[in-house]
Amino acid sequence: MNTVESIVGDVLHGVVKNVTGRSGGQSWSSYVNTQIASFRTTLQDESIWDKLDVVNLGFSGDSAYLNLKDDSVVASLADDTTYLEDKVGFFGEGITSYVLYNWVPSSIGNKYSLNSAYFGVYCWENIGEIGIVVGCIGSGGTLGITLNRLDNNSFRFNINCTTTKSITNTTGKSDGYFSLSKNNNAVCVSRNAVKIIDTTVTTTSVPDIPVVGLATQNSTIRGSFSLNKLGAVIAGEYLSEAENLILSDALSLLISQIAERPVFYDSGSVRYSIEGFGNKTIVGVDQSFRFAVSAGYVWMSVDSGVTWTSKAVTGASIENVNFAKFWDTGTVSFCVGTVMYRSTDALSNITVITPVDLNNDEYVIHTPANASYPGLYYRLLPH
Amino acid sequence: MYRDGVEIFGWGNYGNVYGGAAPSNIYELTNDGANLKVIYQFGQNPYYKDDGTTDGGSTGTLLGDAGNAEIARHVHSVIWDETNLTYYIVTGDHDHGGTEEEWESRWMKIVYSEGTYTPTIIAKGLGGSNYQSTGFNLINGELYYNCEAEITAPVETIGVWKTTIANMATVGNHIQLLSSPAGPVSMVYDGTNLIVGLFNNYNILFISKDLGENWERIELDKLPGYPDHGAFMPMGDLDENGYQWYYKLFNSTTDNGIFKAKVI
Repeated sequence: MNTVESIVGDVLHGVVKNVTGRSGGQSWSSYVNTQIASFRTTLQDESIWDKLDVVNLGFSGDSAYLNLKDDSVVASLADDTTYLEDKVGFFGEGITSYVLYNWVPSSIGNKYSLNSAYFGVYCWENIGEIGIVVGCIGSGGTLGITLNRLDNNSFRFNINCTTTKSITNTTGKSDGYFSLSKNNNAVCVSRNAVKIIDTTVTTTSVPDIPVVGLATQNSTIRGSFSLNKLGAVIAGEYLSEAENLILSDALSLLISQIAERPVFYDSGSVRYSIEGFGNKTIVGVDQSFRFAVSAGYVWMSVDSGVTWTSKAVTGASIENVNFAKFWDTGTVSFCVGTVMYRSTDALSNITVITPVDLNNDEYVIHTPANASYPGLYYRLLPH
Repeated sequence: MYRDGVEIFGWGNYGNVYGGAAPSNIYELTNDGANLKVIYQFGQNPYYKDDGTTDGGSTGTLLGDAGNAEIARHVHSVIWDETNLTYYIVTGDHDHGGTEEEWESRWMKIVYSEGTYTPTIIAKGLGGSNYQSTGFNLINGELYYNCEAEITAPVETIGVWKTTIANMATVGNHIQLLSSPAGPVSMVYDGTNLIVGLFNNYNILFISKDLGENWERIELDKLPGYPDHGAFMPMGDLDENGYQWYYKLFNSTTDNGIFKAKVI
């Protein structure tokens, strides 16, 4: 696999809560810049930074971008007002379908050379029955990549671009090839994709994950990401597997730091970050374990919210799932209303645990006067 | 919590605040969560009968152990002394009259020995006493706790205290570590930091890195993204990156949020 870009971090564990207040404390932009500086230092220390031409963080579905290699763009973060929170928000559902919406190669030109570039298409979650289109529609032409679902395991991967020739001429590449494979949850298109840019390719090797973002070849490399997603697209020289891993780790960390959207408060030498999450409500945390609830479901993650398993439990709601205990074995105990459950296999199976009294006789839960208010039998108030 | 090297978990229910009336109990999970035992049942509380309302009332069905005179609205905190195989427990909230039978705030312990659980009342208090408390933490053999008696206590007594186990019943020997402007609803210790959250409508955290010698006051309402009111309630365990996670405790569901904070 001779592509370097493959980075989509574990973007979100849910929908990040909209941040409404911005008074006091360290600014968001200041925080982001701190994380970027750390990221840059990591890659510089590993002699990777200079091999990258574009490191683009893409936010949400509006093609907002932040090329970390562009100092002027990064510097713009110094002003809060130019970096609207909505630009880094993750609202709504669905997948955006366009990138480079205002990219016009004929007038803007390709400031970024294809000769040393690799491009990535980033995939995340299931796509619909029809498939998905990513690409751009602009006045100067259309660059589109279409993933059409053929069946559950195959896609037709189409690249078409009305500006094919200009791109080809610009880069001078004509002997390349096209490849499509999975690499760190990314479907990657080699730098020589221009070779087949008018070609329809059918592949059966694409993993069953949809497109989140697309890196393309203009100067800013505006990426496109699904709504509710934050990702990154990278272009640059070929990186070794070891370098790619370092890059992947560093970028994933950076994405996570930003995606989880900490808002900082500086108080002397002590710093606190506050974060909010939406959709699933997390009710239990212990190291990398998470326990959450949504209407009618309980959820569990053993990898810090990267992946989740769920179980439908009648009546489950944020009001009545108020006890969750993770055991050293990985077992979880939790309550839904007045019922205690246990699962030893991450919610694949759950068992009702019947309480007993000191005589080991069944402890009987009372029949409530109002079925809507059965009482908080197990609610745990942490210390 | 571990007993003879085997993981257990003891806690008490924080009921009678919403969701209907419930008896107050101390529970223990053992055997990897396969066994759940009610190791202590508080008495029938005439102030929190099941009357079909969200938090109980003075009419309706009595709940709890009819043979136990010790009543509690709910349980604030349960900690486990692994060395002495003892649970220390604090309950709340009110005194409903001048006699101890009408007091819900108490400290007690339950000593485990070979399958038996022996409860002992350590101290009880009128509302406003130090025994109206929350946030038990056993650190280096000493009990750190919050006096949350925000209604009737002299304001200077509200805050964080510590005592030796031997002096639990003698408030005069307790040492105050922090005077807070409102009753602390929670305190967690992450191995380095004591983190104290205050009651409703006080968006304040107090954090100490030296077990209460020095405190830093954090004005949460000045933080971006933090709602304008509500208690800041920790979940109790840290995540893999050292963050403490919190949820909003008492406020309306319209403003709920999950937050995490890390002391750096």
